[in-house]
Amino acid sequence: MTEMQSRILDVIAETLMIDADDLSQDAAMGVVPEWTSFAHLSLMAAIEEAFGIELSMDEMSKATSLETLTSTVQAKVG
Amino acid sequence: MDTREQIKAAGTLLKSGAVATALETILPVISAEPQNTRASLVAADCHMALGNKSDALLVLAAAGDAAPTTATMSAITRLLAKSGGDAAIRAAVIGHGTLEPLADHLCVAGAALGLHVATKAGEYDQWARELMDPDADVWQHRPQVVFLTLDTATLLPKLVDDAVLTMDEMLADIDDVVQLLKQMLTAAATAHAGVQLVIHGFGNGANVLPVIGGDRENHPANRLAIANQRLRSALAADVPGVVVIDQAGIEATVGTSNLRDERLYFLAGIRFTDTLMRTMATYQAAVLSALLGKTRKCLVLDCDHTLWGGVVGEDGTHGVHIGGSSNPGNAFAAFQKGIKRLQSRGVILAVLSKNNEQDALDVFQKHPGMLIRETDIAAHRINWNDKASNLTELARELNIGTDSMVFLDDNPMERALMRQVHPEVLTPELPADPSGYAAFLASLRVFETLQLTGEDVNRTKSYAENQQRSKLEQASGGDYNAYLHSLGIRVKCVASQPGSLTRITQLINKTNQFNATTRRVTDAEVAEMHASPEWIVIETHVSDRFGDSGLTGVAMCELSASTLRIDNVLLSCRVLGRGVETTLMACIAKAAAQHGCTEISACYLPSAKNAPIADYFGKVGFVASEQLDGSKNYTASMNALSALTSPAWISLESSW
Repeated sequence: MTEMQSRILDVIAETLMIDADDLSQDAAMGVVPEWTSFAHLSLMAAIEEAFGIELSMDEMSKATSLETLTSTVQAKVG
Repeated sequence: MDTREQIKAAGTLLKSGAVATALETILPVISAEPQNTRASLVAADCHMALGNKSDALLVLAAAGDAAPTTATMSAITRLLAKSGGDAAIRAAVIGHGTLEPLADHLCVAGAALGLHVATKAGEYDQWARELMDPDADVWQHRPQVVFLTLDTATLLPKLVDDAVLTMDEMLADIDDVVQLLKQMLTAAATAHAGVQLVIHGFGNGANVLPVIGGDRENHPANRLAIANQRLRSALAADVPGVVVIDQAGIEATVGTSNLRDERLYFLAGIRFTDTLMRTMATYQAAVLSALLGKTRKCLVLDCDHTLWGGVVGEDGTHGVHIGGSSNPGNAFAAFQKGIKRLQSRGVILAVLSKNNEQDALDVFQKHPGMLIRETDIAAHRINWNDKASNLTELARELNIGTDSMVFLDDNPMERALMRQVHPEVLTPELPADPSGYAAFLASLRVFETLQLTGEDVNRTKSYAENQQRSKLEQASGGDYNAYLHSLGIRVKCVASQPGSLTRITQLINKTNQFNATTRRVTDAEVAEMHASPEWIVIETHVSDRFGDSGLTGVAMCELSASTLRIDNVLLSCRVLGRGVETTLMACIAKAAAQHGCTEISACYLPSAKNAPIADYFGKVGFVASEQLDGSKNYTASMNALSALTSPAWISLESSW
């Protein structure tokens, strides 16, 4: 797991109020029960704040797994 | 140990059954980091495990205060649903848009009033069907209270969009919608006797009312007020049991620039910001509290530094600050005015002060700036005894429970003592500065009463009995048909369009209930069927006077020499129960006839969720042959389906 991924995992765990240890690399909306479509919006806000980036609605609606979220953030942060 | 480890340790202790130790571990974390929602959740879980629900609710309410986000609200709601046991009251929130977050906020606002509320959100935009259809999902929750929140721009588009509108046009528009709402609420109130219906009045929503419009009588600034006035009058006259919440007033307290988060709106159909939902939920919770008869009845007031500035024992009768135009006398006067306002609504006033009795009474009797006079006070204890025992005496004298009292005192020590001895008395923190007292009092929504308190409380209590009555009424009601006609349903059934293919795939893969096979497809498969001359893919669009549901139905049909085989047929549950099912099959039959088929075949594969479609083919005229695996193959001759037509209340546009 990259450092970026583990930082993102921390934000996910913090926002969804679950243990980061319980999250694996295939964490995604629907796979993690707490990651609902509504929680997703809070999560996107938390990600924006944590990484100082702004996500478009299109990016938000696609970044529904740890994998896609990481690549989205990576691309923004550079 | 850092905070996270402590939370985890507490969680593990809780799971292993060492609840008390878990609580001891987690409480220091909460004191250090009150905004740590996870810590609060663990603490609340501990309180629940110890059977101490009121403490759990307090912790959860504080967590909601500290971090009022959608995720927090949802986590709290989940925890209450999981370990909260029986709820004090069940409520449903229906209306336009996505309502789950509002329902979660209600759960937390209830906790702040010590109420465990079990909430259920209605489906997106499905309020009209939910009100009228007793089989709608939302009623399975057996709500005792239903909150309805509507989007003004959807219901009254002219009011919002037209800069120039004559008074007659506007009133006609408003009255049309108000009459319809009245009819629906009446029907729902009849079908669900004992359920309290609450409607949020018309709000500005996204601050969309135009500000231009000149000096006309119906200047945009007046339009909402007029619409709300017509709504209230119509309901008050004909459906008096319905409570109307002042949505425009709520919006004003939140501020018109804080009403909607455009991203949440466009991404998830959430019409409100968390701030707005929090305030709406506070009002809703106040209604629930009032329904349960938990409205506070009595305001118990300290004197020095609370009702007036200064200390009468030191400054003398005329030395205390109350009234006049300068600070702080004017601030205390505003506070007293607020108290008088509550009194005029039936709140009992009592005075509880550590003073020489005559010193304090002199101020009430003689100070020219006092608004509250001795005659306004129902009972008083002005002496040097401890306030907790004095309060018990006041309650006895007034013949009310201490749990219906609110105690206001500027002294933190007195408040702490009161909370310790009488946790059932509401002892809120007062603002540090008296200039904040009046506003604080106005925000305290614990004295709210519904217009028909007595009747409403009884209604809630006799819920079980009323349910049986409502079943009888449902059985005899023929009103659903009239309702369907009034909806103005428009259906468009056409061959798949290139621009619709993504949505068609999505719908096929998302639909669980009214889906004959729940076989999932890929974009490529749909594109292939769309292009093939052997396949007819039908897309179905549904709209009515309340809005456009869009592409909400699909049928995939394969043609062979004499048979049209329905590979799959499905409708979004948002449009079920209004006859669209029949319309779609009538279109399939027409398409089959046009292609010279003599027979239609179909298949039903049962799944855990698709029972709603089980009877579909049989009902419209197909004959079944059951297979060993529980699936059913259906066939129907064109003759058997010849009588099948789209229902009269649907206006149909079709390719066939």
